[in-house]
Amino acid sequence: MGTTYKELFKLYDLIQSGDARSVERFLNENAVDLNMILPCKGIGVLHLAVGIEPIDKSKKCTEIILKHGGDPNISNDDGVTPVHIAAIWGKVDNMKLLLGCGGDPSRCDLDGISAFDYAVREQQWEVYDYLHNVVNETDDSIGSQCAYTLDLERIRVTTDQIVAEYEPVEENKSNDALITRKSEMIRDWCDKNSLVINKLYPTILGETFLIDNEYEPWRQTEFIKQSLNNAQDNLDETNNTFRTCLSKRSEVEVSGIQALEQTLDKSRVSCSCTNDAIRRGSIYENFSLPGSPNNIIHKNYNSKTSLKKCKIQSNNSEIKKSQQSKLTEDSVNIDRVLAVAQNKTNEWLSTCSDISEDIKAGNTRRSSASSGVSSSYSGNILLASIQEEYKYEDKEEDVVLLERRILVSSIVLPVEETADSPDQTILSVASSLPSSMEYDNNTLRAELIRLGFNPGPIQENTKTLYLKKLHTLKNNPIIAQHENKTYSVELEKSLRSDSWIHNLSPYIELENIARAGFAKQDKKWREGNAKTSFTYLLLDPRVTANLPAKGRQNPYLSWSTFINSIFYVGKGKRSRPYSHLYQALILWKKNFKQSGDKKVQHILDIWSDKLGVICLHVFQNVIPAEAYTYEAAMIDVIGLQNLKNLKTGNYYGVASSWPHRERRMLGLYLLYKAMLIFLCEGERQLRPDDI
Amino acid sequence: MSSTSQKHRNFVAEPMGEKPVTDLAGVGEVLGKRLETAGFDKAYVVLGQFLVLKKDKELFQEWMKETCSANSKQSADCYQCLKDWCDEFL
Repeated sequence: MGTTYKELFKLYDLIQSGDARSVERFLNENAVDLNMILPCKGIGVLHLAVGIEPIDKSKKCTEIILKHGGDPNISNDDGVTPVHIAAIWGKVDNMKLLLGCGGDPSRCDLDGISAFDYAVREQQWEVYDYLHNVVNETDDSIGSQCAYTLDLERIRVTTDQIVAEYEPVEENKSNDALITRKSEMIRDWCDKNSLVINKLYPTILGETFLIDNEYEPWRQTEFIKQSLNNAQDNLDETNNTFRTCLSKRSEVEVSGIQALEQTLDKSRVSCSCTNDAIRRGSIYENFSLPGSPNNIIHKNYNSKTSLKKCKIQSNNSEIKKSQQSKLTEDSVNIDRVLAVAQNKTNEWLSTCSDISEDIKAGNTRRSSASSGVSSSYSGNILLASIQEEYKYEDKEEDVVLLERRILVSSIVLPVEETADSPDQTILSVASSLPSSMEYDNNTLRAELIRLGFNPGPIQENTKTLYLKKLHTLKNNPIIAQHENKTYSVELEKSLRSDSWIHNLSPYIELENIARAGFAKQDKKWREGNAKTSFTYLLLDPRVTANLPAKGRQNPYLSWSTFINSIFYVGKGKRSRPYSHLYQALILWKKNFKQSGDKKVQHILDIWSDKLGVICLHVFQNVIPAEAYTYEAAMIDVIGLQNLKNLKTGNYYGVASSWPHRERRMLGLYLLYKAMLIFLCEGERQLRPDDI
Repeated sequence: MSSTSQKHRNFVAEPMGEKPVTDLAGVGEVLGKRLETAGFDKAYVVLGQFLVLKKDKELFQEWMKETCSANSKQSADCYQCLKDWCDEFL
């Protein structure tokens, strides 16, 4: 070994004098093996550093030695470790450092006394409390089986005009075993069942229609109903494995076929008028009519394009053909999809092209009118966002949560075969805002309010001021969102300019250092070494407003929105990823709207607004100590006062010896990474099942 | 809280009554003249503007700058003066 005792003794003297700077210089210049017990003295340098007076010097020396590789569990001839010494002398700060670097408080010396016992014996209650808090946490490596189930409930496709929901229906039990991951299942299912999911159930969103023509509207309706009943009877015999929701689906589907076959001629003749009439029925009388085949033509291209979304390469004619064959052998398909309109005005969408072509002329214009003021509908493109809903169930704790995942990339649905309607262009013009500065007082007020500023009376002698204000707000909207939160220096800086994003290397370096410290498996960390933990952020959906969907437009803006929306940072375990919501859920079930706990209160508020809490799980599969460190760093950078967290976190490993500035830099970078994850993962909103 | 001027303390000490605009902290003779020509001859008229702007510091300072070309120190003093007066008497 290269270290001589001479060097160690010199170091020993330096520590004893409490000269931290010299100690550091000495260690930088000499490669010393710190983990040796000095002869005669009977202790190692770390033992000494932990025990010296005064406390601040002791702290510094301990820190330096730990940084240079001192082992907190080094035991001398009596089995005493630095942890014991910190307990005996009541050095809480040193204890934190030692445990942070992997010190084991439960280790006993040769007399069989642990740090716990020493703390009690010496009446070091502060140390005792700290140890108690740390050790109290159960070891995560034991019993980390999944205590929950996560099932796909439904998929919802939303465009400007329609909301369509699909539910998976398990028909073939043997098939289940093969499917391991739900996300894969969806994809599979999309691939296989493109034909089924074609059937969109449109929800009519505040449309108004002019009805010019309504002769003989109801005869056909009744006829369809009749055929529907027949069809259902047939179907019931064959498909008795369907669940209740499925019976609804099959009902609809078959009625469609029957109606198609039997009323084809008729519908061709009277299609446009029937169409109008049925529509009217659905809007004004809330009349639910399943299986009107020649209905709602403007959804027709949706059905086609939804195929594209599922990455089905087959061309349209094939689909149509196979669809018709599918309609007749209906019950054979494996994964069934039920589409249910969100509000009760559902109508069935025919995918039969024969009929749709006939009625297209009459209906295209109306459909475009129904697109409202939304400008995303222009030309031949339609934006659709897809949401998946999962049901999270923890039987042990009797908890059911719904998780809604909004997929990031809203799908661009190319609109085929639509005649360019003049309505569209008019609408898109109407939706754009006045561009000049010549506002009248009301517009000015409205604009300012829209940007989050609450103006006073706008009069002759205040108007120019408000115009200026509007100008600055438009150029720099962050000020408006910033409200009354003040973050840590680092974060404030990052909010003011985005130059730091272009030079991330110092941050990355910090993270690498922190991570490397946890990669060593030889230490016993708090809560064990099982890589089952993660850090999570709770975000407020009222602030984010589906940020991922619009995130790419302005990285700067999304950064500030993201920061503003965070209201809780925590650490979770894989076995129960949503356990942090249980507490709130229990209150929710009992109809509480108030809670003394700030975090729970916030969650309840969000749920009361009929939204789900956004749960962002980041840095998966790390050991608990690492997750705690990341949590602490992120809390520090955001600032405790801006969060609903009750206390700041604990640092472990190398990060525990860092100065605050570096900790916050780590936190900043972690947040940045979290945002990137958020932007590509999309929002996942969690809510109770009864909202 | 930073220390305040004697003028500030005098103004905040009592109701403003019919005090001239020059009694406001941050408003000296020059600014006072300019304000008077703009119609703001009494302190309470400036208070009116202050209130119309909903005690918004940024807007008030901007207004001061526009009406009497006050610099940021002067307008900040005046703002603080009116703010403290309001906290006391309004």
